[in-house]
Amino acid sequence: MNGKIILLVEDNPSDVDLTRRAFERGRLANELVIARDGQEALDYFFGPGGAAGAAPDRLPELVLLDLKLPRVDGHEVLRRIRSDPRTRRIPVVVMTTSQEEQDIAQSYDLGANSYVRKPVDFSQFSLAIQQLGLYWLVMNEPPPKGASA
Amino acid sequence: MLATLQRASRAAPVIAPLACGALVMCIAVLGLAGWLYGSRVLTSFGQDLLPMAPSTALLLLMNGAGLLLIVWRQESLIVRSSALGIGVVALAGAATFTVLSTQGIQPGIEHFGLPAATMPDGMPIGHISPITAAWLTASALALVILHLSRGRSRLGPTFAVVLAAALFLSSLVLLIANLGGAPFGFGPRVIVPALPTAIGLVLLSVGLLFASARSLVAAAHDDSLRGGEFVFQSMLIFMLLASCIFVIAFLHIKEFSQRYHASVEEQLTAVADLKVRDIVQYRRERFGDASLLWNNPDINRLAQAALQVPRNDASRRLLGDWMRKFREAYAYDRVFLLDPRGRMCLAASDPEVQTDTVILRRCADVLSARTVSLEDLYRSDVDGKVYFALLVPVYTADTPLGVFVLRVDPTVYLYPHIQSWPGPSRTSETLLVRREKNDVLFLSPLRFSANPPLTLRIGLAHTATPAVKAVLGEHGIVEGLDYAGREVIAFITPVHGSPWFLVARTSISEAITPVRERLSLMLVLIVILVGFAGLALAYLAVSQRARTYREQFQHAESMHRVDERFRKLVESARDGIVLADGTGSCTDANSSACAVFGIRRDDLIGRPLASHFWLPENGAEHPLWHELIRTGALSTELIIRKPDGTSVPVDVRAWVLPEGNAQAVIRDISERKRAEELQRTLHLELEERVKVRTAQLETANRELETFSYSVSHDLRAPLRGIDGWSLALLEDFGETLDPRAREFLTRVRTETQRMGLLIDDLLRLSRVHRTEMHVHPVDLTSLVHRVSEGIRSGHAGRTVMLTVEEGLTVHADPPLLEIAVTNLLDNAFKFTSRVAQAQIAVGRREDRGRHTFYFRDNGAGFDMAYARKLFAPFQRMHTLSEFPGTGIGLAIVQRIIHRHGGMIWAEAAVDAGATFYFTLEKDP
Repeated sequence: MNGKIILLVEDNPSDVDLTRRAFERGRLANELVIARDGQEALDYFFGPGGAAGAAPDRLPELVLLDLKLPRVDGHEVLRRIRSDPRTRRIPVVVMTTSQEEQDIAQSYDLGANSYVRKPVDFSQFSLAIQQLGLYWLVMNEPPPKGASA
Repeated sequence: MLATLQRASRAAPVIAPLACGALVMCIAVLGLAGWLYGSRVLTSFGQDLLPMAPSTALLLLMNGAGLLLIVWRQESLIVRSSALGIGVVALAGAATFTVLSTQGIQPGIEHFGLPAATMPDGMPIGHISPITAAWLTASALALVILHLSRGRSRLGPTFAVVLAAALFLSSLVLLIANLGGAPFGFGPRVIVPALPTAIGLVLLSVGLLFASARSLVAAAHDDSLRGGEFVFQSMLIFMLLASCIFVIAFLHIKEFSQRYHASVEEQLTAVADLKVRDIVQYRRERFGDASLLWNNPDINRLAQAALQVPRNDASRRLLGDWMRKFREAYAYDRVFLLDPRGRMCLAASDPEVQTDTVILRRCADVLSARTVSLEDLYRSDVDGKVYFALLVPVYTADTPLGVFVLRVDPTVYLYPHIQSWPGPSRTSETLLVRREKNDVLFLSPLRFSANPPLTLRIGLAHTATPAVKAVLGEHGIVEGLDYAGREVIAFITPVHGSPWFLVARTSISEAITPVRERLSLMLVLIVILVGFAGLALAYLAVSQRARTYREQFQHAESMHRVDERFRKLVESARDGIVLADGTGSCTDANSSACAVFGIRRDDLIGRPLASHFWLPENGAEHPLWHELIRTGALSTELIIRKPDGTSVPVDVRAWVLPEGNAQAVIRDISERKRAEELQRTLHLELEERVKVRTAQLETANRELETFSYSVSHDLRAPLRGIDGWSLALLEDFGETLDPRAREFLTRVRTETQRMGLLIDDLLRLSRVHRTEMHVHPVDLTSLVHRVSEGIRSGHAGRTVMLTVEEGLTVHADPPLLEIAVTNLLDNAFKFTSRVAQAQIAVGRREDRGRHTFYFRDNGAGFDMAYARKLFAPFQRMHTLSEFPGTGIGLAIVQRIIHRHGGMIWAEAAVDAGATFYFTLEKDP
């Protein structure tokens, strides 16, 4: 499970730290790349201002995506990820506080692999993070590398 | 019955003249054909009856045709003029024949020169009766009048009706006269109408009566006579009545005549039988007298002695005395004895009187015949009187001695006896006849002939004479003409043992005199009865007409009143009301209409109405009239252009009346239009405002949603932070912290998590409000069961008895209803958690006609004093330590029920359970 990058797209620093703490306590030693807003996430994939993005070996194994983000919101980020051949197969788990049906439906429509509501109770939150990591990074067979047709 | 009469009376004015005319023509044609082919049956309807004259047939034909043409195709000028021509010709012909026949002139042209003899009673055949001629003149006159006065005046038809009625009566009399015998001295002096003629005249008068009545009604139609039908009804009744009276009278006369005829025949037979018996007896007696002398030896001896030469005076005296006594005893005219040479030998009286030659001639025959013989009635050449005599020969051994002659004078007994008649009679008599070669010789004195007996002879060729019939072998009742040429009825019989025949006869005229008298009486009665019936019906018709007039007057008066009321109503109407004729021209308008059109009434009336109306859309002239005629009724909004150039919007309702006129109600709708315009403006403004408000509301809604979203998203994140970092503090520095500090941190986390729950509940509540609803029928019973199972799993180890009424169905949005049911059941389970035997019941009851559903539990209940607060969000009736919860459940339930248009309320008591009732707008 080494070398696998997890991209956390989250604007709330408290949540970022809590997430990181949850990973640590879950003994998930993967590299956690943080994007503070949607634009930053897009820049990570596709490069700022249309320049070249991340190298193929720097593409994340899992994206944890918040929906409510400054500048570009989570849905837009998801749409862009799914519309690019290089990134379209990357598992994206939407992690958000919203329980709105509309948000859930739109996320799945745009190709989210999972939708997790962040509980207020941190014990439950860290449990959820650990299970997510376990599932997506260990149990789940990742998509083949390289661009698809 | 009445309906039949009404139908008949409607058809009669046309049918009757047509049918009668056609029948009359048929009779006439039959008569003419009968003449041409020599058939008496066709001309007289009987073998021995008087035939109809060809001239009569011709006139009847023309009259029938004239009658037919009165009602047939009168619209054709050719028919009309030819009908008039026929009428005039018939009138002229009938008048000419009337003059001729009354003068006794009978031209051969009348029967086209066809052979025409006379009737046995001497009535000439083939010539028109003056009665018929006069009658036909009158009927032709009526026809001509009817043709001339067609529809112009009432004078002509009235005259024709009266004439036709008179003709009808007289034709009835003629018909009865023909059928029942001749009344009123109908006799050989005047030619009488034949039977077909009489029938034809009756038909003609009936047709004429109807035709003239029809003309009268037609002429009177304009000014009133709606009672026309009644006139025809009266006439039909009159005809029926007249026919009934006629038939009854005829049957009566027929019966009476037969009875009387039989009695006459009986009388004749009785008289004749009696007389014949007497005569036979009388002759037998005479032969009896003779037989006293015949073969009497004493008489023979006396006669021998008396005839002896020389004379034996004593014997002569003796014989003379005996003869005298004999003569006196048997009332002989003379009794004498002749010698064989015919010389007077001895006489009972007057010996000097010469012996009749007839007797002398018979003497030799008698002597040689050796029998008593009778010399029948003969006229004496000595004194010219009529006698008959018995001759008795006298013999001595075989030597003829002489002949006794017993001469009888018939005037002593025979003639008086024959001439006598039992009972008074003017024409009855009996007479004796005998055949003499080819003649009949009348032997007895005659009542109606100056000829003395034995002088009148009638040839055997005259077979109509009863006497001739008698000698030719007939016997019994016969009819014929007597020696004086009058019609008689007679009983004829031979007198047995003699060459005589007895004729007992009486003249037919006398025999039928009582019948005639009865007939005349009946006719007078008929005429009076029928006349009265006619008068009564005429009175009825007149009074009916008067009533009709009165009704018409009253009707007109009431119509006038109605009209007046109507006019006032129309005039005072605020709407314009106009009337138009069939061409669309205005015939009347009220003042409101004039105001709407903006012109004076006089300018409006007589002008076409349609040109005032214009279409509101494009200002084109409206095809109002054509559309109205096409559809029959119209209701539309139009524009009226006033002469001053202004326009008025109007609402027009027009309709066509059954008679083709039209009416229209025109309402000035300027005010309404203005109001509508105003309303439209206001409406537009309102819509604009509503739009703005809606936009504002939508904005607010959007903001609210954004707010909810923010609450969900943004408030939860710091909470999670507080919780997360509190936990981090506990985890990382737990050992260094005071146990109380750890306790506080735990409290911080508990409250944080509780706030998370509150936020979630708040969001749920707002979601209930925002979700779209789709109402379907929902099976509430199974929903409760399903939900309760889920809840039951959260209350493991408890025994909760749940009873749900079967078949509960509601109309609701299924997801929302499920939320409501979940909350209610959740509460019920929760608040019964401290009860030993928890019971929950779900059911339905009727409450003021609405289905009310309830959820009842026997749990903790609550104080009804706080019931008002029950459904407010976050209101709790119990402490958290008693029953956990946020207090949002019932608020959600109430919102869901309210969104369905229903109501929810609760009944409860502390520790006595609670019942939640709710209704939904749509009940199953």
